[in-house]
Amino acid sequence: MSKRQLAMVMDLNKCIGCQTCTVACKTQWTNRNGREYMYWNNVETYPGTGYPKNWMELGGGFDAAGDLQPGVIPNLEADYGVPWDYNYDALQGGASFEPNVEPTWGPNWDEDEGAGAFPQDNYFFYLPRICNHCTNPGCLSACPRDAIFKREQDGVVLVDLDRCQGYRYCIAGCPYKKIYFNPKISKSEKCILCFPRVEQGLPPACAQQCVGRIRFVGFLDDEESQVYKLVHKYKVALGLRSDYGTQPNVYYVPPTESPVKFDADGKIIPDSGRLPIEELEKLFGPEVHGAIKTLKDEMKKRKETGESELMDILIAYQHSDMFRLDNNYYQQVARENGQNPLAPVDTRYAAGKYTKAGHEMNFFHGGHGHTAGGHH
Amino acid sequence: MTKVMNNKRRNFLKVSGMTAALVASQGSLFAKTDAMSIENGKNEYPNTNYTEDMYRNEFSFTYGKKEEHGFAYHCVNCQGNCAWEVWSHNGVITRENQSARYPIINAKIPDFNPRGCNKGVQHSQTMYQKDRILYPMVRTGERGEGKWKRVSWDEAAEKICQNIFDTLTDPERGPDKLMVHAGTGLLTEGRRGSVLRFSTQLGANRIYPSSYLGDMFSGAAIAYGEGNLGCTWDFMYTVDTAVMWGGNPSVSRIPDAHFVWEGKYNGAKVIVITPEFNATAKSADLWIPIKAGSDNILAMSVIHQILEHKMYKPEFAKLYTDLPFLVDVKTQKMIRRNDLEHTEDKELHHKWDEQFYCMNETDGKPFLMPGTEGHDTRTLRLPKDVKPTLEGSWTITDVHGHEREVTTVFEMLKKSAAKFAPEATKDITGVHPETVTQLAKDIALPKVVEITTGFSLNKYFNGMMTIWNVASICGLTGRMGPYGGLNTENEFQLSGLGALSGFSGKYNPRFGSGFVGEFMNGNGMKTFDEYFTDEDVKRAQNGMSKKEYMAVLSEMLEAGKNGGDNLTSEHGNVVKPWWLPTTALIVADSTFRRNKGNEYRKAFLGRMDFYAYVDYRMSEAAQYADVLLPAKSHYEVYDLRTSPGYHRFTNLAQPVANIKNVGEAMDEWSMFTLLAKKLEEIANRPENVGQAKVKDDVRYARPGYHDLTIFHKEYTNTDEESEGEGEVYLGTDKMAVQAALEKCEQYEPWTMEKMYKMGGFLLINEKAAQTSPLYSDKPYNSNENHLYKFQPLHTMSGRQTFYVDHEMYIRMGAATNTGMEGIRPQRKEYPYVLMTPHARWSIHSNYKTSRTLLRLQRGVPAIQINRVVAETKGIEDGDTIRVFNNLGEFYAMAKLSSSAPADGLVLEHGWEPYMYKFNKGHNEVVPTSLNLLEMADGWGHLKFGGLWDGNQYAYDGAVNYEKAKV
Amino acid sequence: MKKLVNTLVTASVIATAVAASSVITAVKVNANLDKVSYNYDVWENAKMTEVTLYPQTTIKFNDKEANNINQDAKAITAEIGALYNGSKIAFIVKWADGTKNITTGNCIDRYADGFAMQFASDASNPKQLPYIGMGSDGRPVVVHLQKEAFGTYEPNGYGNVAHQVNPNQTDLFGKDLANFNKKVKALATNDYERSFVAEGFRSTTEIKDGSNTSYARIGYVGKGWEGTLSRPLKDAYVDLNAAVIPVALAIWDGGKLGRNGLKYLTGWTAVKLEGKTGSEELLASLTEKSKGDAAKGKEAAMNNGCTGCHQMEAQDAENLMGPGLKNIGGYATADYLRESLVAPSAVVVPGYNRNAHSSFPWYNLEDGKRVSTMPGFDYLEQSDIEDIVAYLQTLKAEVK
Repeated sequence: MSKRQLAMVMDLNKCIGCQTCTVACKTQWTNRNGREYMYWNNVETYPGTGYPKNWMELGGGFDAAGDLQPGVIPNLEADYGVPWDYNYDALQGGASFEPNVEPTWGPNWDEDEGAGAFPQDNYFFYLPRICNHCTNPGCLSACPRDAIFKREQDGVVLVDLDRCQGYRYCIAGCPYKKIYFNPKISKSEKCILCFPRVEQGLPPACAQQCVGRIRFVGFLDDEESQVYKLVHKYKVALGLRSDYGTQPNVYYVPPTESPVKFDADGKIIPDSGRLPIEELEKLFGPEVHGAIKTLKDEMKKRKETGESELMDILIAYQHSDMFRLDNNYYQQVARENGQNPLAPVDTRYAAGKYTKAGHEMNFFHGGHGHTAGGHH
Repeated sequence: MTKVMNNKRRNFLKVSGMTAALVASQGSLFAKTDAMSIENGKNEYPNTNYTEDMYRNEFSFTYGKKEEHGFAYHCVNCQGNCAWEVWSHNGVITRENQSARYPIINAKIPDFNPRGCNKGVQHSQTMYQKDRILYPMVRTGERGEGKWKRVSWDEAAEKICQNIFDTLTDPERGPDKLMVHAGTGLLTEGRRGSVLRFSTQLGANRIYPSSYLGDMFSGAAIAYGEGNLGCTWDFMYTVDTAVMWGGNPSVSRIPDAHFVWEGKYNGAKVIVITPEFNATAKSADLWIPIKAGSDNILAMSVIHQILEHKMYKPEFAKLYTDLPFLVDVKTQKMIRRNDLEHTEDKELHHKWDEQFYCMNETDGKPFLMPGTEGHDTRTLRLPKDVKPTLEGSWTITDVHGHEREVTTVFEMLKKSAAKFAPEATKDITGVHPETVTQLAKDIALPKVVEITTGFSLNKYFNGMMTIWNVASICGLTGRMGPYGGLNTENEFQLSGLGALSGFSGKYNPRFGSGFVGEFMNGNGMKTFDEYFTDEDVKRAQNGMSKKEYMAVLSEMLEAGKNGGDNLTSEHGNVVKPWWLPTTALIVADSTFRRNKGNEYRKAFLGRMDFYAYVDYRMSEAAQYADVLLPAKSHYEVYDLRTSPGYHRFTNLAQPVANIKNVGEAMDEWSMFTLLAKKLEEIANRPENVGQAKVKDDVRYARPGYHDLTIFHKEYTNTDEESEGEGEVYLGTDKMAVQAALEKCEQYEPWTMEKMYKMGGFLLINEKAAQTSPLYSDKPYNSNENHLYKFQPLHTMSGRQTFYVDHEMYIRMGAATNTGMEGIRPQRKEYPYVLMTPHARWSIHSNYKTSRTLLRLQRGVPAIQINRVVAETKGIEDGDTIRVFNNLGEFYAMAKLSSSAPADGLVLEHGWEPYMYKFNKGHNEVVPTSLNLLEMADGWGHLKFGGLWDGNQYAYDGAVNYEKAKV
Repeated sequence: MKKLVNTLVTASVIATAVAASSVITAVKVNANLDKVSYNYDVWENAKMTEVTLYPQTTIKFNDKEANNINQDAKAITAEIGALYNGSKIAFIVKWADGTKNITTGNCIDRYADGFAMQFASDASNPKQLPYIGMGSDGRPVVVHLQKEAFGTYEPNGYGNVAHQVNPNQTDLFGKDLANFNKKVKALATNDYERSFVAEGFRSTTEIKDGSNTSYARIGYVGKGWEGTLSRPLKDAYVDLNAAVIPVALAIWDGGKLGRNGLKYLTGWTAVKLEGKTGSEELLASLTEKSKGDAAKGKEAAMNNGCTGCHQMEAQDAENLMGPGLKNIGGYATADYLRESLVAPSAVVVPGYNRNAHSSFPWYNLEDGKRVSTMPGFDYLEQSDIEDIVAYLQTLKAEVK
């Protein structure tokens, strides 16, 4: 076990499926050098086949006894989709605009399709996914070289690119298929929870740039953090497919909001909802019943009394309050490891268990303008 | 190089007691690289640095130097307008990250951070895409053939300006044959001014964008004398009910959608009324799957319920609406002061024409209402002894001694609404009667209700009626200011920006109607005639035959030709004016993508002798140009942009330090200054100077001419007159931003430096408010001044309008709110409606070619079709389908969906025709038409202008589809 | 029971007939062996010896598809020859492979064909050679790996992070982009040659500090591969100046999704350096065939519960707790088998990620040392041990 665990909570009621997160991640990490096809962050429409195609059926993870389950490595063409490009140059020549590869699958193929009978009971919701930075990672367990590790300071799961030899068992071992093979460097890569941003006081790109304001980031042992409150205090944030046994550290506030259904005559069915509870139970486990009850109760309380701490948290009055990145802690860790602590590029999200001052923190700013990244 | 000593080996060395000397002496026996022993990657992994440093360095690379960051927003007519910090490395943009520094307005209301969306977040990627126009280019082959010659800026300017000069000085042509126009790819306070200024200075023709886009809120303009009204989106957090009528904020209002869902957590009920199940509907409390285009009828049904169940607010109606105004039952005309009093004074007669009566309950006599357009009293406040009556009918005697039976507008409305009982409308709207009642209650009863009308509503032929009817729902239920109301698109007012685009009245823009202009440009009448049947026209225009419609329309069009009757009208505009230019200089407007029907491009190109185009990307409009000029994009320029009114911030664009130029791209101010210089140079050539004072109507050029010999001086305010008046110097994008900050009083007291320090934006001050105060700690919503200060609206009645007695309205049975069916053909062979809503993945055609975004879709135009229907047609997901009607056809990939209605196809709009198979865009099957109610003009506040110019329609395509054979 | 024995006898006869380990002869030459490739004339001097490689089944990897493909994998053969001079020793390996698989730059589900040669850092005690699969704790090996690749890049290996730039994100559609691409290309290598030190699977560590001077090449010739390796007789990692040295050869078939442990493997094989004398004990150990009774050994194995933890034959339960022994006869020496029976903790194969099967740990850590969960069978009669060893030596797949 790492000493502390950085975690993320995503509120599915607030997710609008805009994929700003996906693109923010792409420009931060995956628009280059063999990562083009990767989506460290993706958003899929549920129900749907997802990304990669049918990922829930590709194995990996653990059984009840704790044994790693055999998995399958998805295929680029069929399951991820080739990152097609276009004949941009030719437009000037009066040509029509065409993909160089016929698109047959991609990270958002099922967008807004949903399931059910239109208009009586059809439904969908969005499911944003990043690496879960599991406490018991399937990828780590599948690696015959132990070239995947959890960072001691925050539990971020990383591939050791020095030792990785590109065997790809990790991909089969991860039940979420959130680790990818980079063919250019012939090694696996995955979401790194933007640790270089976090260390310098900036939340992960997908979270900070989420315009739906659905993502909270903080340490699970920080009782002041929203992630702690949502996961432990109110128990409304649940792991995705925790039956895979990897103990994921990305949590979801399950969707509770959907319009009422109609009967065959088009009449409103009062107090009905469109989200099948069995589907939610499949995704979030039996705890979903309790979580939904708490959410509904608190929403009711809010409506009636105007009060509810849980609603206050989920509403998130101040964007900057959604993130508690504990900058002093990272500075301290760096010092302990004999490294130069990196100057924070942002002080707005610095608060945390070991960083009391919060937004007013007065950090040392170097004389020649600080830049991100330290070169040791 | 990382090297970790194997723990075991270290222990072994220790235990065996080997001395350091021994180790040294054996030297090469010991490996330089030791095997790394790793027991469990979950704990204390020994080799973390290699990987960590690599990613840290990579972050450092993309982050670049803080002092080299820039600021930007993405002003391409999405209006969202968000502050971004732009990162760069060595002069090349790496990525963008929301600034996320907007201040808290109120601690109990969510803040505006981090504004942005999926499109803005990838501008750094598209700005370097290879469809950028890099250099000035001149066409060498046929139009659209794709043969170009790269030329210098000077050569390009010479060619364009010579054409402009020839057009202006040709005795057969002149300024009105020149079009200089900036499309909605460039909607800013800074850069856009450059094109407008150039256009105005030349007396060139330009057309209103919102009407040619079908984005004009004409129905709101009828009701409020203002099309753009509503709230800043944080208001949405505070409401009891949020109705998204035809709207889908989770897709097309991305930066603000969170307020809706946070509002829901705060107790709001969210209702979505759309034919398709969309990203907003999925989390709503109530979604009403309405039949496409029947919204105005559903709205009437809601009005019916509000009236029937007495859920309206009579005291509000009496004070703030024209509902108590008297109407002649027989003529359906309102009773004006001229009806009851006589004057010989022409001016007074005109004023009295805009003075109206209510029936005063106190004394049972007609009372002349204050606050109307023609009334000298500019308040709605009534004397104590005046109590307007809402219901009843009376006989009064007019100035001629004739007895006239009068009633109230309210009675007229009741009569009109009586035809729209929920039972009667359910087959047309597809909405169950009980749902209508529920909707009426949800709107009428809570304290605060905001009804947001989506832009899709205007895209139906009778969409104007929808917005008017929804506005009337708000009026009946007393929704203004703090109680909510209609939310089209709030717009803050900015004054003083005319200093950039205008000439203090010396030159005035030659505005043409947007929707008529494009209709005429594209031979719209031909398409109309080809597509619509007599039956369609009759259904949609109150029984008027197609023949009659076309005759009436032709007459109206004739009256607007070349400025038409407006030029001789004494009391404002009376028609929709239009011109047909032969020379065009167009900026950032993908016109061939945008316009409907299958004729437009051919007609446009056939008419234009010369056509120059400015943009940063190779749109289809660029492909067909004669001369292409490369513009800079958002990260490469200085600029300012105030959201129309979704929020109170004005964002700054400031290029990153040391930015590398992309090709020879130029900002529009520098570009048009260069063109101005060249035009002045041409005008001063000995052979030209004699004709360089170009005559024009004094409406457009006060001196009676445009003086091209000092064109550059006037353009940059370096001419004697401007110098004398101390006008700001202009000439570059940065100068324009500085001038705007100096001239616009709503920007006080901000400077660029302060904006930079703040995080790339400023807060506009309270002077920006139009119809409500802009409080420092509260969201904004329109019309509070009307409610609390009794300020008249900009309508003829000074009140919310429920009655328009324009001849055409009476003729159409639409003098008050009514329901009118769509013009969309109802033929068995074309049973599906083609819906092309605003896109999640582009802002119209902007960013449509982004590889980043296309990979998050299906890579080619994809269309949602109902799963069940598709299966009966043997169509599988991913198949190519052919969508067709009697106008044309196009091809798209089928997306089998449970979210699409059985009778509709849902295709995000904005695809350039060149992105489809055979270059046939989806507008090939979309007809074009003009609504006579919007053509009607010259009545009260309904006079041609930025407020009243009708709409182009996009949703009246009735189609069929099949599995493609290609 | 009778039937079982019969099967067993048949199996062992076949195995004996085909797989008698050969001794490879390294021919001494005067030629320069610094950088030899497979198509050099110098190989005319080599004596080719056939060796058999068995599918590695000790550890099961987490790739469903690959496991299905390789479920009943047969052994393969390769020819191997060796040359040496005063300072270098060189090997040539030839094997048939109908499909040419190489790592390509833009594909995520292809694996390369290739080979590796393994050398023991210390072969002075034949009874305690490094574990055949990547050595073992305290018994390091050096492995030289050679595959053919199509432009792979070492991330940050050159410290040049500027090349993390998005190639679409240069302003530069012309010359600068071409230059950029050239620069990036210069970082790539088509020669996938790597050298490792290892003390067990998981410890495999690439030598990146420049201290390795080996040279390997590979080429597809006819319907198979020819690969060569030349390396110093003595370097920082091994000293091969002996009459007999143990080497092992591994071959990967990319077409069968082979990589890492999914490979074919010889046991430690003796290479006799022509003209040198000594090392008789090592030679004997490497070629020893146990004198025990395999049939009795099988019974003893069953009686002592070996199959409870180890998969011995295809029909046994899949290996979870202990290493699979289906092919152990193909790549273990008799000495190794004896040692493992008597002192299981002497060599603990650490190749299995412990987290993968948390309920079946096959070793525990005690004071930082791996202690096998298998009890030592040192109490068995010597003859039983010998019988079991003989039985284990019969456990190997047929040759294809």
